[in-house]
Amino acid sequence: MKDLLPFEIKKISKTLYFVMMLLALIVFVSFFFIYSYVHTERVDDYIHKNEIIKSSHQLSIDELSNTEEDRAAYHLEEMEEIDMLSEAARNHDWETIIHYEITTSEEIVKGIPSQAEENVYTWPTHFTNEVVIERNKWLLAHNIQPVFPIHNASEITAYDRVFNTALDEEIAYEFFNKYDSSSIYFLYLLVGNGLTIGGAIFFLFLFGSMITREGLGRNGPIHFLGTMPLKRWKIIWSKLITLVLLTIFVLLATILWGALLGIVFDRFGDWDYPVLIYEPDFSFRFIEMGNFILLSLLLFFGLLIFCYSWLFLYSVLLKQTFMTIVLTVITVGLGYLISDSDIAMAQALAPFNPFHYFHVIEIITMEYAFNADNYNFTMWNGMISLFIFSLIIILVAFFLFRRKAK
Amino acid sequence: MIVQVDNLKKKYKKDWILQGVQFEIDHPQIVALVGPNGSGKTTLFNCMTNLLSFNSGTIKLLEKDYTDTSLFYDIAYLQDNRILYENLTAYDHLKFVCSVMKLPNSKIIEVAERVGMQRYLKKRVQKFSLGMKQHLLLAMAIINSPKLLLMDEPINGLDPTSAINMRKILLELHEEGTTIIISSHNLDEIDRLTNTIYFMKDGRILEESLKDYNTKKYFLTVNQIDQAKAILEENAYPVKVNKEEQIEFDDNHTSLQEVISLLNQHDILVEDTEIIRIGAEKRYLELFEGTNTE
Repeated sequence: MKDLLPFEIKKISKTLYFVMMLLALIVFVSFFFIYSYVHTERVDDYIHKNEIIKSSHQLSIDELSNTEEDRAAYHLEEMEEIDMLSEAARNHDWETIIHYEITTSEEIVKGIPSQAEENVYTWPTHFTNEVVIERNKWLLAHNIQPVFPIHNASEITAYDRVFNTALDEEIAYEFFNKYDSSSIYFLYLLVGNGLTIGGAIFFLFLFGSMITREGLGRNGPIHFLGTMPLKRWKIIWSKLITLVLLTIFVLLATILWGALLGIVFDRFGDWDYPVLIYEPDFSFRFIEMGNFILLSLLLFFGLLIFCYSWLFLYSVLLKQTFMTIVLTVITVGLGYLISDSDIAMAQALAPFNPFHYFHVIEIITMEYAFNADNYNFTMWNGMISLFIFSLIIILVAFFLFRRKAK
Repeated sequence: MIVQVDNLKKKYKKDWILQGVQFEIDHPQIVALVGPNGSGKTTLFNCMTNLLSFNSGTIKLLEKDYTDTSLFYDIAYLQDNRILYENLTAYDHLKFVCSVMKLPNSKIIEVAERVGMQRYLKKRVQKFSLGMKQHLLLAMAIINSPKLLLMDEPINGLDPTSAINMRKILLELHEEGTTIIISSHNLDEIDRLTNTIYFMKDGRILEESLKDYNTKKYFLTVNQIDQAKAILEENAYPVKVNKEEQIEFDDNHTSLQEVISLLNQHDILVEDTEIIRIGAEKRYLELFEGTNTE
């Protein structure tokens, strides 16, 4: 095996196709970083936004008559607070800003009925406000630099199903879609956009030919290995192990590249930045963003193994490399679409259908479980079902291969 | 016993590719496997090396069961060049073989020199000509000095110089004790290598020896090839000049002594004379073309 692994790795890493695909991945990550960098709300942007709000207050004061002193005083008070926030931002005094936002949100949330009491799902819901408050408290407790904006309208949760107006919805999403070019937050964004079914298909094309071109029952280079003093199972397993190792390498290299961009052009960021996790009965908790990234990668890795097992099976049944990859993509795509239907999600055994777990981020945040009203959609159930199904498919592939060989 | 193949049968879909192949090789020798396309030569090699399963029969190589992968420490199979990895260099291929065979890397240079491929050792296979690929396949096959060498069409794509070099290497290996089973359509080359030929037709071995076929072919290397050809043609000798720039003729209508003395009379020096039997071609025509015309 120690002879085979370096040879297998060399074989694939020396192909132009592999190099080009890796370059494409690096370019994608780099461009996404540039996009995130440009859209990051920095201290200057924060102060600038405050200035705009302040000038609108000033305009309101200018338009007030002398009899409306109370309202003028309110605007003046608001302007003073804005000045205070801008000054705090200038001094990187996040504590002051977060304190302010917590106090404001706590005032607001008092006027919003909770979902448990009334079925109100208009953005920002009581739940969403609670999330904002707790998130900001977490930021304070962990001494974390916030990713702006952090006010009560800066969050959309699964409970926010209604928007009063189209403009409300537009504003909500503008505040909600936050970007930050620090390593950790950028990786969080990257994971959210990359660890999807699209990402899995990318990996199928990246490594597909490795299994299919030289796979089970093929002529060509596999015959070279077949006439070496090597056990057949070692040849097959070395391919699978190489596939796993190279997948880990590509995932880690991508993460490292993203992290490096963040460190060089911004900062490493905060490992313990809070990520919302849904829990039953209108409750929630947070996990550290770093851990969230690791768990997402782990689940995605499980999904890739599941995809590779299909590839393995089809490589036994079909002769053409391209058709094998296409059929795998179709299988994965169809499984994903069918599993996405309300009927499929409602089934009692649905959490053990591996195709559900292509919604990596929603699975980790438990938003998928919340939407399906089935809290058995957990990452670990996903890992178990992916492992079992992958194993079954690989065993079927071996069985068919042995039957074919006879 | 070096090779023992007994009643080997292989069916592919509805056709029997091998229909009871049977032969034994008990001492080191060169054996040629000759037959038209589709006669089952490659299938036989693939069955012998366990690349292909078969329906019935037994195969023993070097007194071991053919499925024993440790056999490949002593057996080499020179296959079709599609087994090569286009993105890797010749060196990568040979290094891998060395690491699997537990050979020192110094063997790579040694075998490259022997085959004559030092110049392109570090080149990627995708830039190789057909002949260069054959060189690499040969190098991979002989790097471990195998006891049994199976060669499927090794002369394909080789230029005359390379073909001569390959012949030289094979004869050397034979002298060193390697048993070689070679399939080829180049009957001249076969005749130069051996007189033990297995003719294959419709999945069976028809004949195992050519001892009764004594027609000879002569190859003369002369110092003035064009002049020599002109003189012989003037004197109505049916000769031709082959790719290796040799005067070539057979003993059916022409005597070797007559030709040499005629050339000497015209001050043409005969530098080298090579004599081979042309049994393979003659017998092949009888067996295959004759059958077809019936």
